[in-house]
Amino acid sequence: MVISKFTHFRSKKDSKVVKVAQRLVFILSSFTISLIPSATFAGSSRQTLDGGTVIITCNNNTGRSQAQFQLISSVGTIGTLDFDLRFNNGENINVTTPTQIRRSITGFRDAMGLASRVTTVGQAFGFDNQGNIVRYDIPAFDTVCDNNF
Amino acid sequence: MFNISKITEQHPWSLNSCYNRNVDFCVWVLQVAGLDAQAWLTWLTLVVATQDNRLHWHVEDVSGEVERQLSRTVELRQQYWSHLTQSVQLDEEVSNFTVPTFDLQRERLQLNQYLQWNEQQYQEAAALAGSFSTDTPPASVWEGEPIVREQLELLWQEFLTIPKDTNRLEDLDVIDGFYQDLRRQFSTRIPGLKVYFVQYPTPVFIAIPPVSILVSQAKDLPYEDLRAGIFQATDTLASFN
Repeated sequence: MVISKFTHFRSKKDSKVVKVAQRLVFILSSFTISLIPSATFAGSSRQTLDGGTVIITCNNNTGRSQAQFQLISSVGTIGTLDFDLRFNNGENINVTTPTQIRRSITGFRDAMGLASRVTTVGQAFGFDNQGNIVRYDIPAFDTVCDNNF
Repeated sequence: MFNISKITEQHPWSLNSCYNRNVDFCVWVLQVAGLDAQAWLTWLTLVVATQDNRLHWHVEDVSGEVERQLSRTVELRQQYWSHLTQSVQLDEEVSNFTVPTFDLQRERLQLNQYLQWNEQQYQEAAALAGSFSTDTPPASVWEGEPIVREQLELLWQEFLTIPKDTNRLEDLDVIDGFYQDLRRQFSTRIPGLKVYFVQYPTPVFIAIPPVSILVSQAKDLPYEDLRAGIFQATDTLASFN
């Protein structure tokens, strides 16, 4: 059992750390150890910027990692994808697909082996609401891969 | 995801919301075993630092990457236009159109600005994560007593065997609705925001500088309470910075 006592707050009123700690006092005092979660959350990550949203999830349910993705434009449509799914077991899958022009595009890719994390980064192309071709940029972000039956 | 042609003086501002087992583990430990609060907070802060997306933003050679991306953009635009003209029935007049031209010099400048900002953000995140990486198990990030680290390693193994809740994207949906207001209020004070949803029996909103907040019970909270909690925690975050 890890040490279970919460008496080490310091009282420097100006300390920013203490401000966080004071917030934690509330957490700790309102908490009962008997409430142990029977399930935890599976990995999933969602990134929103002014041009739209990218969602990635990853599971290891079948003995190899599967990354699922969704791109949603908030400024028009998407027609071509060009991004990488970088698994931390060293595998890299480049998703380069011209598709029907849609506001939202979903898909998935299977890795050959098992990874515990996948990172996505890249770009997509489509039209904005004025009919101009636009390039969407996807800043790198990641999610964990685990069994989520 | 943002439209790169719209980058002007302000850098793109992202809202990332996620379930992350490393961070969730820290909260779970608090519930099953408990820890000295200050030590737990120090540990949590470091674990969160190892999960910062900006650690993936390293650009080793900015000018080389600018040219690589520009070249790829030109190629893909051509492909995209070809795909359009082949797959869509266009009348003769329209099908004679050629791929639109773009101001490459302007895009070069924008990309250069954006990638330099990325590298700067990476450097800030890397300084906080120290020698740890995104793949470092949370127990290994513990910098206190070795006996506690050993206990955390055992608990981590136990934690990994717990069934995972797959009903997760509903929680993430609602946060998107806050994006525009969050960006308007905080984009000049924090470079982006990362929201970690964690399992905890009561609603909590914890700010972990410089860019993260932890939120529990998001799915069960009334919309206004969730919104107020997130904005308050983000404001706290901004005041740290």
